[in-house]
Amino acid sequence: MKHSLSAKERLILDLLGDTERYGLELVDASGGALKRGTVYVTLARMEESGLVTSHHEDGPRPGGGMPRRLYRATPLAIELVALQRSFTEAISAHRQPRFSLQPIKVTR
Amino acid sequence: MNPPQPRRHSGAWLLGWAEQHLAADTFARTFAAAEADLQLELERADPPTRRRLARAARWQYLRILGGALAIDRREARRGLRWWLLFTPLLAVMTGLFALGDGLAPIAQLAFAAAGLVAGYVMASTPRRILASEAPAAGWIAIAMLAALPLIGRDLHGSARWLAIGPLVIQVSTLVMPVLALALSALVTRGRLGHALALSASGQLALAATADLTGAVTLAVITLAIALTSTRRALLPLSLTTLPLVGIAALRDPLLAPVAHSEGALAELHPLLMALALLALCLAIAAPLTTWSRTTDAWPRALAAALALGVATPLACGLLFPAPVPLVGFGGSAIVACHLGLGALLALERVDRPRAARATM
Repeated sequence: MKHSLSAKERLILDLLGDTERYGLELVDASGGALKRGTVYVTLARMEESGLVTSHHEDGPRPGGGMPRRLYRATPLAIELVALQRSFTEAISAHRQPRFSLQPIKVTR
Repeated sequence: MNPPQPRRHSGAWLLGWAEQHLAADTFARTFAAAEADLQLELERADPPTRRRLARAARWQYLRILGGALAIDRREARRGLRWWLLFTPLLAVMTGLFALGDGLAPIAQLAFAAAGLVAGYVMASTPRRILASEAPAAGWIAIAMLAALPLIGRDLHGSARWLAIGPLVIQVSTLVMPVLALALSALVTRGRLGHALALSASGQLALAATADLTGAVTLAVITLAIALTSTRRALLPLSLTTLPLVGIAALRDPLLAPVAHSEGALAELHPLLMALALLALCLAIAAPLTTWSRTTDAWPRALAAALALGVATPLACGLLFPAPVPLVGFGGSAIVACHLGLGALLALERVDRPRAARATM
């Protein structure tokens, strides 16, 4: 099972949060970062890796037609994202300067 | 009430192709998911947007197809015994000591690399493609053998080699695994008439090129396939194969080794010769491990054919002045060995079921 996230996977997991979404919803919500031609393949790979699960929507669609597929992040993925986030924050905090240069007030 | 007809778009033909050729779960997770979303969008969109979406669908589905095929092939390669492809290399390495300096060892290594690539490609081929194309490939192999008297390089009355630029290929050695694959496919499917015709044609072509080693190898392979699959094929195949071997025996000029390295075994240090023989035994035994893994007749028949495909020329090389496969100089046997092992790996793999039309 894969334990490192690519930028696309991270984006998808951020967009999913702890909700369920359709593939096209993710494309629309990403503002162009995700493409229609690649999002489904990425989601299929993430499902293989155990990062998302999917299922067909419940019940028939009002006008008939094929059932759509809904995606949800797995607990493993949510934990991975949280770990990555805390790691990134820790690295950023470590890079902060230890002291800041304040102007010295000279009194006479 | 009739279900609503899906709206037409430019990617529909790709959808149909993918449904026929992708595994069911890959198709469901990629194309089916995209199609369901696209159909809903087409229903809800105004006419100009609908036309734009319908036109763009082709490119969207082409991109999906690339990714879906990659997923399918990765799944197909999982769990294969890749180590099988490396079993001939030990014999090749021991033979390098007899070849001395110069280009010969480099050529052998280049052939080994080419063989590994060929074996990998073959192992990645879906079994259903091998099943449908193997007989045709067998006939193409026969045609190549039949063309040799016209286009092959003649040496002391035997035209067994084809020169392609700097490469000299022994065609009968190279096509032997293809013939083994085709014959095993036909015999295990009960198409005995077709198998008889293929086997007899191969023997005639080998007799025409005065290649006794090739004729004997093909005869042994054919009989091994008959013995390990359906016994009722044994008698007719024996009756057509063995007399034709006799013709090749009459015509074969019993060539002396044409390069010092073709007596490679005799030129090795005794210890190295023992290691070479051991390595050759490994190359013979490796395909037979398939017998313990599957009860499917086709891979078992092919495994027996591949093992005897190495054992027979080895026996000929030990008894007569003939090159020993893999150890002596010659890249055709190396590539052929890897091709055969790759085909065996492809047959061992269980292909996932393809998407059914009912899902649409």
